[in-house]
Order: sequence, then structure tokens, then C-alpha cells
Amino acid sequence: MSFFTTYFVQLLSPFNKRLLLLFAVFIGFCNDSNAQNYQIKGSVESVFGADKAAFVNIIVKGDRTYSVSTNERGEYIFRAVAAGKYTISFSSINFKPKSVDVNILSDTTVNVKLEPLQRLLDEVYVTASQTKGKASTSVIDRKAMELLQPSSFTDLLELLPGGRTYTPNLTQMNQIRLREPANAPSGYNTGSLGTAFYIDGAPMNTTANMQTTSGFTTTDPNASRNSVNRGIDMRSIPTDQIEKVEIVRGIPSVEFGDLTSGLVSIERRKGNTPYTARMKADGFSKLYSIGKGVSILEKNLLINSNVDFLDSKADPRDSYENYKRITASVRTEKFWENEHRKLIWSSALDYATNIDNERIDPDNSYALTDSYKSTYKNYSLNNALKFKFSDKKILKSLDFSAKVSYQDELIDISRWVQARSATVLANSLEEGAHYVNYVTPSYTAELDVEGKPFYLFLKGVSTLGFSHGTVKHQIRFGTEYNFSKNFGRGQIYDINFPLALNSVSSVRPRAYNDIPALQNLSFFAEDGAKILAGEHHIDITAGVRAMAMVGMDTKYDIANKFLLDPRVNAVWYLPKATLGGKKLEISFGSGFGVHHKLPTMDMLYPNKTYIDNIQLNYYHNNPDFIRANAKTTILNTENYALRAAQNVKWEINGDIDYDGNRLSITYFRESMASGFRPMSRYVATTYRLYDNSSIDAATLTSRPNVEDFAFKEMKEYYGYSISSNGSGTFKEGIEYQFTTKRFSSINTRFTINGAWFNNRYKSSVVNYGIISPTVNTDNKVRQYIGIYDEDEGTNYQQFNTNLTVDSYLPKLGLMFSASAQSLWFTSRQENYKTGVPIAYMDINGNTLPYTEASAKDPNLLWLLQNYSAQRFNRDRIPISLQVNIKASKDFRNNARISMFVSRFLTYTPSYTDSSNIRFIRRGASPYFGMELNFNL
Amino acid sequence: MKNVKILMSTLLAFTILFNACKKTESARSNLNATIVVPTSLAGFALKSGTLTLKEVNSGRTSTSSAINNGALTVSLPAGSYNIVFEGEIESTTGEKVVSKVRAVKDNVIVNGVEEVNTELTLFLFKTQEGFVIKEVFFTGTVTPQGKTYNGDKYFIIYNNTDKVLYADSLMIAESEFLTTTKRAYTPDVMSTDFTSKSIVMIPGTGKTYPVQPGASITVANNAINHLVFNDLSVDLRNSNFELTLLSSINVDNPQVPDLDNISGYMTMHNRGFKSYVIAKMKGTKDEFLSKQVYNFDYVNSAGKITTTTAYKIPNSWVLDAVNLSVEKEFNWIVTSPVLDMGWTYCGKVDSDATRYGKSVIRKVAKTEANGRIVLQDTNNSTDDFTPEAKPSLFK
Repeated sequence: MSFFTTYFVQLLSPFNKRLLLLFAVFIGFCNDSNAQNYQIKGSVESVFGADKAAFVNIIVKGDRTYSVSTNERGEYIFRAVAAGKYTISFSSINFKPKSVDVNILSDTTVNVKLEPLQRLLDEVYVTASQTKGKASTSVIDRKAMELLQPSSFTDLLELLPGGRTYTPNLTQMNQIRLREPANAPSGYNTGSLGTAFYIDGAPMNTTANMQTTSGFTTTDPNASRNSVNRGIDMRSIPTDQIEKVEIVRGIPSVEFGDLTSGLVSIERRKGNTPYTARMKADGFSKLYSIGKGVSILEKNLLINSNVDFLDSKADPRDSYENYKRITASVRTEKFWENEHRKLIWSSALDYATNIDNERIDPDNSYALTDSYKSTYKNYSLNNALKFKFSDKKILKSLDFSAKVSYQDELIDISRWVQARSATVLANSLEEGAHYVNYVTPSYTAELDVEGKPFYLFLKGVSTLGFSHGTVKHQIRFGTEYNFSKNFGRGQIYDINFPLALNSVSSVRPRAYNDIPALQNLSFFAEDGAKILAGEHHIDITAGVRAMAMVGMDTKYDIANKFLLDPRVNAVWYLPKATLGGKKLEISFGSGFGVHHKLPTMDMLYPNKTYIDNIQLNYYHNNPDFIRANAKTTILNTENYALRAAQNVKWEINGDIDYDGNRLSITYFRESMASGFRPMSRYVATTYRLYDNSSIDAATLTSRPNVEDFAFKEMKEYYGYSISSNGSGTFKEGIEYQFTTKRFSSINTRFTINGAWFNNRYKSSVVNYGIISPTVNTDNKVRQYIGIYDEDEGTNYQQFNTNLTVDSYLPKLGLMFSASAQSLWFTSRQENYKTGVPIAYMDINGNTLPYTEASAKDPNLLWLLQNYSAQRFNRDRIPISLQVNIKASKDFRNNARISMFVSRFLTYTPSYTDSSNIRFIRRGASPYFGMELNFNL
Repeated sequence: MKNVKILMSTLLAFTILFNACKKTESARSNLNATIVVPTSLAGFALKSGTLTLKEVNSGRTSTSSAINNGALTVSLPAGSYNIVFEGEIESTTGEKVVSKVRAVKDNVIVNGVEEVNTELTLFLFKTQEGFVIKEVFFTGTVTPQGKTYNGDKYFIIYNNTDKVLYADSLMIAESEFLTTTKRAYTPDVMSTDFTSKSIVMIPGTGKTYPVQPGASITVANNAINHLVFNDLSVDLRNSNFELTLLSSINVDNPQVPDLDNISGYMTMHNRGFKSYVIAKMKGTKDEFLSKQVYNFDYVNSAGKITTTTAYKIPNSWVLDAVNLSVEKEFNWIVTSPVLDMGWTYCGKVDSDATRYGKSVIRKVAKTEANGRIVLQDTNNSTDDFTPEAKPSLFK
């Protein structure tokens, strides 16, 4: 459209002018025309396309002179220019200057393309760049993504230090694990739960996510997709509309709370873009995306919209297990300004559907009824108002934002259930003894899990700025409120036809909307001080955040108590120097921070555990005399002592920049001893075991009752689990990145990054264990509980280096990168454990010390965990090297074709493991894909 | 001239053809098997016998009966051989007594270069008279909808003698070890004991449960009418005994007496990777649990040492044994070859879907004049059992 108007301006004639007017009216841009004044607007971009020319100075020279500069999207507007002949000149430090002569007789659009200087090319990063002055923060922008060709957000993480290219697995939950080695153990989810994701300044809240089928089915098809208490499922975040992602692995500002491990801040595209279409195909998935951005400069309005669709399969040969994602959004930004203030209103309406499907291939099974489908639908509306005040005032800006989101979630499992023998069906929702029936031999069981989380987010921030001597302060005060509630009906099924049979300890349905809402209120204050001390320059950002769960039942220890997160980051810039005529910049930074993550709804309000002890199982040959009786014990698994998880981080880093070649090294430690984990607890249940032989089966004349039988009083231990703060994650490591400048002769940049991680994962509380119920002790089972207090924990290490060589040849429209990713080693070593309990509990709840005599007792000897010394050897996996290539080529500015081959070359030598017995041969298969992009 | 050319080319063609067809014989070397008479058989000398050598990979067998000075020499192609010797020994003093003997050795490597010497130690092979395992139905069934069903597994134990025997204190034990996973267990007690953690016992005071000659007893997982739950199953209400399983899968028919669980639960391995023995308990249950504890360790699949605990049943208590495995996964037999030197099966590969509803049944050796059937018991389940048979209780 703009192309056409420009064209018309150049071939100005009365006829064309009329046509242009018509065109303008047609598209509704026509202004109330002032007699003499017209407007000039347009966009400035690089001749090589995608690079926007921001902050280009534009001077319109003629009878009068006007000047303006382009905004960050390369757009500009002169609102009132008198008719006449002008020369418009464009100048910038990044581009070669250019002038255009125009005759202004009407509103005119002038779009120009400038030729970039080498300096700008230097700014093109196709890897993650480390933000200067912000420790442990990586930025990934569009250019990097164009070359990376991601299917979801997960794929971006390979650019972080310690990252690696993996084949996407889109039929499983994708969890973020910052600063963790490749071989990190599963089950440690506080790190991903405690990594906050913000999109356009609003958080993605998962507190009220309760979509689980765990315990309701025997083999849980939802298990691998379960994201309850595990944070954001990254495969649900498309990358096409992302302008820039900032990933803070270190200590984020106190403006961001309810996190322990990191912050991911996503900024989406704004402003004018052509119609962009992307089609990607690889071995497992297909992705289609279209988007369009409109910038109506006259109205200070930006509108962007997009739709994208991903269809992926677990295995290209099996269409029965798949994942589909549809996302769409409409985003607007409008501003009003005068010389004193500027008001920016941004708004985003988002829709997303994620569907996981799994069915059994009907060719392989009779079980046509067996199916699994999980649907997540998300609707959200985000509004933000920003008041910017003039530089003279102390109050610089006021920010308000509000986000409302609602999810419609449904898991639907159908399964043909077959009793494997006559099976007692214990399904009482009440405690106590009662007669029960036997399970219907076979039936179709249906389980629905309906979740409807609703989230509200409100935030207000004021920014003050003033100078005090040589210190420049920027002070921010803010408050944030989050409301989470689940309106879903929870697990819905007929309790007489359950999916899972045969378990003593089980769960029953419950409605999520009975659970009270969670409210989280926080306040923060932060001072960003820039201190000039002679040639030295010190930046200190220090702040504190107070966060509490409010309006909560006071039986919870955590209720209404404020948790404090003090955090400080400091950077000391040495005086700027030159060495051999080249610029040398050195800075040192250090940071310390306390971070808290509040427990989720599922942790605070877990489902009850039901223990059903079968007291009578009298399966008489005469069906009329069959009788069964069970006693149900209901356990409340709420843990009122549950606290927030706390992570304490500190780090130091050094950063040297010499002539555009930059080395940045960070050493960090993180200590989180109070991560969330389910802990086992045991309870002794009592019940009566009726003796079937105490009545004469042969002479029965009617159905017997429990009173007719002799019985034995039984007491047995049963396990259940509660959420507790028993998970410890202790991280230590070094992250490094070295980036050369782009060598102008070959337009090539070398990036070396990597990390050494030395993490320890442990259970930080005393453990309980029960003797295997297949072992009889005193002719009974489940009689003893062992109490183990060992210095548990397993150390995991990784050291890796990625060398990326990327060439950006704008004249050919070609980008090419090759990365050699070497995982030098990963290792795992478990702390030594004796396997001997410190004490044990007998069935009457007496805790007794476990002595040497106990170890010889025929019953208590079963409490010994027999560990061989070899178990505690260090397992080290040697080098694994892979070479990946990626290339992207532009055609005539409006089409681009890209392709990638992961593991193009690999080197994975065979090795013998620590036992010296196992010889391990490794292999790797390449993975490739390609995509087409159109800009129309 | 033309003819000569044709002749020459024909000859040439034939030469090439025949050379191409010539079989490349793999290298052969001699194997010397020395038959050792153990000290327990002092006073006996080897009389005759046959050495059977089976190459593991190709299944090719060679035999030899040429005993020369207590040894046999066979020329064999390179390979890995399982060797069985079956023969007779004769007493050297006093009255001539001839006894059947056997010797077994697995995985003897013949490399085609050097001569291989190996020793085979004889053991006395006598078909013990008494109870034998007649049938093991361990696979369970499938329903018409293809779902597995497993309350209908059973054992049948048979009185193979002409006398009344008492089933009291008769144990059924399932092996702790898998026939599909060969490991070096330390200490190794296989030559003297059977290792188990699933042991059940028929109760009784000694004379409570008589079994007539030629009669059998059925021990069912759940002695109920399974046809109610699965059309393709069986009515087990007439079983003699019933197992007590884990409480969550247990059903009790009050009209069928229950077995006593000595250790664990008898949850019969439904892929048939475990072996079973029947044995007579000596002493009380408590004595057994304290005296027969067996602590052992082994290198697990992750290369680490696992230490674990089970019970050991002396081979001398064992009345009969049957090893089960599947062809694709078979590694070794988990009993002493004295108890059973072969194995039988349902299904040929791991998790073979065709195994359901099939059982292993002991073959009939002969029928006595009085109609009593004598079952075949040569302590070699490969020969003695019909694999993948239709379970005898199924209609």
C-alpha cells in the first residue's frame, strides 16, 4: 500500500493525484485538510530489508525547514508541512546519507531505503547477546530467530550458555531448566515453576493449573504432558511474533517477583510489518504462521495481528499421538502526547488452543475405546497505560497494567477397563466400614478433568528520577496484585466405573471450584543509582520486594505474612581506555538476591488420599451369598506448614570489550534448600480382617453379614504424600561468552559460549521408608517404617563449549551459521549413604533407635537399604560433539528460504562406564528441516 | 577354432561357477571332554554314554559315544557349544549296580584354532518318585476385547506314584532369578539351593490332604468362576487350593482352602521368565525364614552392584522343577541341572501376545494296566513338557 503511494508521488500528475486522494479516502486515512499544510510520513529501512532504521534524522528543507527523527520502528511523520518543493535528507550514524526531492501538493508518503554501514552489521547477532551492564542476561532477537527456525520457545534456549541443540519434543511438556546440566534429574520442578514468564509486561500465571489425572488411571497418558506445579509449558509459546526475548538467569529486578530461578521477558512485535507468512516443516512437525502490522501514524496507532498453527507428531509414522497449537492475537498501541506528557495505551487480546491427542492405533489393538485428549484454551486481555512526563519533573512516569486471563481446560480419557479377576470396588466418599460391591467385569470408563483457571493481574509502578551530586537516581515504587481461581469441576467420572482398579491408596473426584482463590499482593521499591566517580562509573540497582498471600485461612503458616526479597546488582565500569589505538572497556559486576516462589493451588489444597482396607472378601460359589466389606480412611494431605521456596543467588562477573571483541564471564552460586516436593508420610490404619473360614460355607442359607464372622484386628502402615519444602537444588557454575566483532572482509562473527555447571540435587529432609509389602514380618505386612537421615544428594556436572560461526552477507541476502557444540563431559555422583536407618517406627507408632541388634532381627533387617559401594562411584560420560548448520537466503526482499541440519556431524566416542563392565556405544542421528517466509 | 573357444569359455564359466559354489568351511578344532566321576560317586566307573554338543547360534548338533579313557574327543567347527552328557555308571565293587548319570556344561567356546579341553562332572540322575508338576498355567488370558485377565492362573500337581501321598507342607516356589537375565550371583548357591522370594505352602498337619495315585491337586490364583468376568477364561471353583494374593487383587472363595504364604505373594510371571519348583518343607516356617535367608549381590544392568535378600530352598527338598523361558530371550536355566536341565515355554519372544491362554503340560510316559497314568519325568523340561498347550481345565 505504502509502496503504491510512494510510486504515485514520484509520477505526480493531476490524474494520479485524484486517484491518490480516492485511494486515501478508500482506506480511510484522509484528514480534514488544512488549506496549505500537508503531512509527510513514511518509513525508513535498510536496503537489505528487515533491519529497521531507528532514530534516523530527517530534515525537510525548502522554503521552510522541518526536522524529526524516526521512531524505533523506523517510522516518521511531519504533521504539517506547507505546500512547496523540498529536499528531504536522511542521516544517521548507521547508514549512508540520502536525499530525496519532493513537491508537496498533498499528504505524501515517502518511504526510503538506506544502505547500512559496517557499524550496523556489527550489531546483527544471530546468537544470544549478553546485555551490557546487566549480569547474566541474554537477549535473543528476530534476526537470531530467523536463522534458528524455532517451532516453539523451547528451541531458543540452545543459545544460552550451557545450551545445546536438541530435537524438539512437542508431544511432551517442555520445561525450562536454567543453569542446569543436560543430565539433571527429573522431579526437581521448583526451578521451572520458579522461572517467571512475562509477555509484553504481563505474567503468565500457572498457579491454578490443576490439570492432572495422576492417581485416577493406572497408566497415566497425561503424565508426560502434566504441567501442574512445573511452570510454563514452553511448547505453547510460539515465536513468530516475538521481537525480542530477554532471559535473566541471574538476579532480576525486584519489579519481578514470585520467582526463584529466572525471568523470561518476551516483547512482541509492534508497528508496521508487511504480510508475513512462514511455513516450516521438519521431521515431526509443520508450522504455519501469518501476521500483519499496521502503523497509522496520523492517529498514533499501531495494530498488529497474527495467527499461527503448529501440527506435530511424536513419530512421523504414527499419526495417533500428536500435538496441535493454534494461537492468535490482536495487539494495539495508541499514544497521545503534548510537550508535558505522553500517554501510551497498549492492549492485547490473545487466544490460544493447545491440543494433545493420543490414541492406540486401531490396527494394533482391539481397544478402539482407548483415547486421550487434552485441550487447553486460553483467552487473555492485557491493557497497559503508561504516562511519561517531561524530563524536568521528578516523576518520570507512571505505569498501570491489568491482565485478565481465562483458560478452558479439559482432559478426556476413555478406556476399556477389564477387571483382572473378581475385584472389590471400594469407592466410598465417606469414612468408615461399609459393604461394597464387586467391579463390573468390563466397561468403558470415561474420565474428564475440567479446569477453568481465572487469573487477574494488576500492577502499578511509578518512576522517579533526580540527580544528587554526581549520583543520578532512578527510583521505582510499585505494587502488584495477582488473583488466581479455578472454576473447573475437576475430575468428573462415575465412581462406580473408575479408570483405575486394585489400589488400596487412591484418590476420588473433587471440584476445583470448591478451592478458595489465591491472592498474592506485593510491593517493591528500587533505586537504580548511576554514580560517576571521576573516570569511574558505577551502577548500583538495589531494591526490596515484599510479597504475601493475602486473604488466606490462617491455619496456613504462610497466610498473610510478607516475605522479603532484597536484591542488589552492581556494575563498576573502569575508565575508558585505548590500547593500540583500539577502544578497551572493562567492567566488573556483582549481584546478590533473595527470591521467593509461593506454593501453587495444588500444593496448598491437594486432593485427599483414600485408604480402602478390604475387611471381608467372601466370594461364595453361590452368587447370592457373595459379600464384601471395606473400611475407608480419608487422609487430609494439606500441609499447613508449607512455606515459599527460597532461592539465594550471588554472582560476580567480568566483562572486557576490546575493539568490539567481547568476553564476559560469570561465576554464580544459587542455594535453594526449600524447593517443593511431595514427601512420603505413613499412617497406621486399623481394620478388621474377617475370617472366611469362621463360618461354614457349605451350610449357608442366606447372605452372611460381617457380624457372623470371627475377625482379627489389623493394623498396617500405608503411605501417602504431602507437599513440602524438601527439595534442595544447589547450583554453582561459570558461564562464559566470547564474541568477536564481525570481520568486515568476510562479514563473519565467531561466538564461543558455554558453561560449567556443578549442581547438587537432594532431598533436604528426613526420609521415611516402608518394608516392601511383599515381605512378611511377624506374619504380617506393612508393620515397620524406617527413618533415614542421610546426607543425601547427587552431584551433577556438565562442561560445554559451543563455537558458532555466523556470516551475514546482506548483499546476497544470505545468512549462514555453523555451530560446533561440544559437551566435554557430564557426570553424576551420588553422596555416600549407609542405607541404615537411624530409627524405626513399629506399628504402634513408637519410634525406636535402630541398633546393630536391629540389623540382625529377621524382621527389621528388611529396613536396611543395601547399597553397594559402587553405587557411589562417579559416572562420567565423555565428550559428545555435534556440528549443526543453518542457512537462510532472501529472494528479492520478499521471500526467504531457510534450512537447518542438526547433528550434521557428530563425534560420540564409545566408553566404558565406572563399573568397568558396561561398554557404551553411542549414536546420533541428524535432524533437519526447512522453512519458507514471505513478506508481501 | 570356434568350437575350441566355446569349449574354453564353457570350461571357464564352470570353473568360476563351481568355485563360487564351494562352501567355505569354517575352521574346525578338537574338543576334548573329560568325564569326571565326583567323589560322591566313589566306587563307580563310567560305563557308557553319549555326548551331545549343540552349537548355540546355528542350533547344529553333533554327538559322540566314543569314550576313550573317560574322555571323548570331537572335531567341531568354531562356535559356542552347550554340552550334555547322558550315560550310565557301574559300581566297581560288590554287586553290579548300574545308575543313570548326566553332566552338563554351557557355553564352551571352540575357536577353530586350538584344541579345547573341558571337564564335565557327572551327577546321578534318578527320576524321583513322588509329586510332579503336571501343569503350569502362568500366562493368564485375554478378553474378547483384547485386555489381559489374570485371576485364572493355576498350578496342577500330580501324584506320579502308585502310593497315596500327602500334600501337607508342600511348597510351591517361584525363582527369584530370571531365565532371561544371566548374572553372576555371589555367593553362587545354585548347585545346592533354589533361590526364591515367592513361596507358598499347602497347610496341614502331615496327613490332612491325601492325594491318591494318579490324582492331582489344582492350586488356583483365584478359585472363582472366571467366566463371569471373561468369556475366554475358565471356571476354577473346583480347585483344591487357592492362593492369597496382594490384598488389592485378592479374592477369597470360602469354599476353597487357602495356601499359606511363606514369603511374598505368588504373582506368577506372566511372560514366563521365572521357574517353579515344588519342595517339601523341613521344619517350621519360622525356622525356614530365619535359617534359609540368602544375601547375595550381582552387577546390575547399570553396571552397579545390587545387594539383595531372598530365601534358599535346598535342592534336596525339591521334588520337581520346571524352568520357563522364551526362545528369543533365553539366557540360562535358574535351577541346578540336577533338578531340571531344560526349559519349556509359552510364547517365543518377550511379551508375545500369542502366549495368553496357553500353558505348559507334562507329557504322558505310559498308562499302567490299572489305568493310572504315569507322567514323563526325565528332569529335562524341554523333553518332558508340551509347550504352548491348551490349558487342561479349559473347555
